[in-house]
Amino acid sequence: MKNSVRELRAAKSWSQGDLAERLAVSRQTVNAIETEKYDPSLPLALKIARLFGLRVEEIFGSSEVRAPKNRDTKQG
Amino acid sequence: MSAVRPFRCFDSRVIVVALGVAAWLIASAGLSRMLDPASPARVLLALGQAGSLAALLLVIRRSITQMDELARHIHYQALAVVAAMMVTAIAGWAFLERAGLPRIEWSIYAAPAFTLAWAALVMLIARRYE
Repeated sequence: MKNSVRELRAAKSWSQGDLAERLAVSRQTVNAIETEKYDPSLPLALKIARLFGLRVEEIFGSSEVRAPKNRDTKQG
Repeated sequence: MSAVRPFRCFDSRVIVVALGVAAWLIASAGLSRMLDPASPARVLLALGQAGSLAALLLVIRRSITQMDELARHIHYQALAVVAAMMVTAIAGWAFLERAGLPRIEWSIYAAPAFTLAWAALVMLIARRYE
């Protein structure tokens, strides 16, 4: 699943280790999430969202959320 | 936490308990052979052996639940695959035994085979997330 964790972390000037410490997970977990090799559990996703002050859907699956299909235009 | 260590579930407590269980299984197997086959003490020993394996499983399970999320995910994946492999191996070998191949004493070999396969799979699956 696409996510913007790397960008959000970079904006805070945190290292992967810093973020891992704040989330109480390993640095490898943060790396696997950022490289989209691992989708976090819902509790961890919520924790990440709270940490960055965003909603889960604003961080994960972001391409779909940012560019929703405009159904009205297709119906015309 | 600095690393997802594949063998992290085998922490000192797990290793001590596993070695204790192994020693108990070997000692009780020797003791069991000296007893009369119809002896109730033999049944008690067998129950003790099964109980010690169950206790070891609980210690390992507790250790895994305390792990980092990704490491736990890796271990659960490995356990699921190993469980399926063991069922296939034991059931498959039973068919081969009926066809004349030598009998394997799974009460002796199942636990070490399971542990080795589990450790190997954890290392393999962990590479996927590096």
